[in-house]
Amino acid sequence: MANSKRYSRQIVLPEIGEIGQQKLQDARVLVIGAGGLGCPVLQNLAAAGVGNIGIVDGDVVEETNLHRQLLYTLKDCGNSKAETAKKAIFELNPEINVTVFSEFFTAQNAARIVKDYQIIVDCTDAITVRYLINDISVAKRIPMVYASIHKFEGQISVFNYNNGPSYRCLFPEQERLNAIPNCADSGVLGILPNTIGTLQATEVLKIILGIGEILSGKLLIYDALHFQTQTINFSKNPKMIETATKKYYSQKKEQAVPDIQNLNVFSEEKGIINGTLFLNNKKVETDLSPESFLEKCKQFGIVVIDVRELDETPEFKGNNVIRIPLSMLEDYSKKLSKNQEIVLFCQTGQRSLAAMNYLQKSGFVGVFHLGKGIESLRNQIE
Amino acid sequence: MTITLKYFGLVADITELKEEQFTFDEETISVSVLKSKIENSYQTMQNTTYAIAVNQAMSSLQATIKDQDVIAFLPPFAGG
Repeated sequence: MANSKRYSRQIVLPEIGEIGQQKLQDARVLVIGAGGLGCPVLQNLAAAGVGNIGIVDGDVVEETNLHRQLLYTLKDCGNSKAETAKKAIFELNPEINVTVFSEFFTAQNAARIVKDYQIIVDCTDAITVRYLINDISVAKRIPMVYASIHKFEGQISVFNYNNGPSYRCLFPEQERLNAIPNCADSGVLGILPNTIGTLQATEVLKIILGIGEILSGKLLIYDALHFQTQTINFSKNPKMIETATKKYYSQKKEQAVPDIQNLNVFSEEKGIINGTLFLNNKKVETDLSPESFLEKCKQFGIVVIDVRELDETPEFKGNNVIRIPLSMLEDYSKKLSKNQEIVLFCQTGQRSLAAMNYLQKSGFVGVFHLGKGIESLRNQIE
Repeated sequence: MTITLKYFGLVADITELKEEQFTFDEETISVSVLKSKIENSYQTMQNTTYAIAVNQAMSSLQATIKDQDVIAFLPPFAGG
């Protein structure tokens, strides 16, 4: 149990208590961007006793940051933001674990960085990165606590919370987006990101504790200059959820090699090495060739799952074939016995491999996938 | 009909106003018609990305606007 003296003033709240404090201590939160928003978020999460915090930022501290990024001092200029922020919050609370990623968040490193976290806090200052965060949050079903600022105004919302709306549902991606200015271009009142980041941290704590009403499906806008707040409601757009999932997996496909390696490293713990499953010490190939895939599909009692999105072609028909897009697999797999033999396929073998790894990790013992996807079957089914 | 328009972020930078009222002869208009009228008044808005909310709810371009409605022009922010 955490040092209860440190947290006694919040433990005394009936909504938190010892159990809530334990939830905070067990929580794993990734903060992307350690700038104007990231600093107050990190400071508040650390002080509240959030036990495992990841900090992502590839930038260094600059003098122009100091009017708003209050974790840093003049002597930190030129040093890594992520490392400096870690040092600062560790001084505030040495009882927490802090992991540093001194790199910018990109399509290449997204999966590796995100994999151990339950909540992502978006404190970035670039819209393209925001879509990237959104898409991985949708694909991995992780809530994304968003905020962004412009001069004297701030926006906050929580996306992908309990299957709720995403960033794309609010702002579909458009060509013009790169033209939207950040703080360096348009200026910002120093105190503003501190106000907004503190609200962002509040949503994170509420999600961890399971208390209050989460800002999901609502965009809060705060105008510091006129002291006005507005809450705008918005709903989930299934097309945008699909776009996010597709974008994430197409980006993953482009840089498939390192990710497959990562998945295999992970799988080795479960007795699977490079796509080979060891059942009762008997070596079984889990990556199926087109021929063995078709053979397997005929096997009695086997379930064949097409993990592509519902509109993808060519269709592969059969009595035991079911279409469950990757994003839905988690829910569907809960209905199946862990001994159920399953054959997975997708377009190229990429998503079915991810699905296979997921199911194996969840304890399924007889999972196979069509190694090179439906494309390798084209001759047989057309 | 008379409606209230609220501007945020980059859109408010273009209009140089937080809020204004517009009166039209029509009894109702669609969001897309309003959008083109506004982009005609503030031409730089044609190059700007924003969402439109009617009475505190995000709206489609086909939705109908009526007398006394409050319309918000919401661009995504980028700063962090």
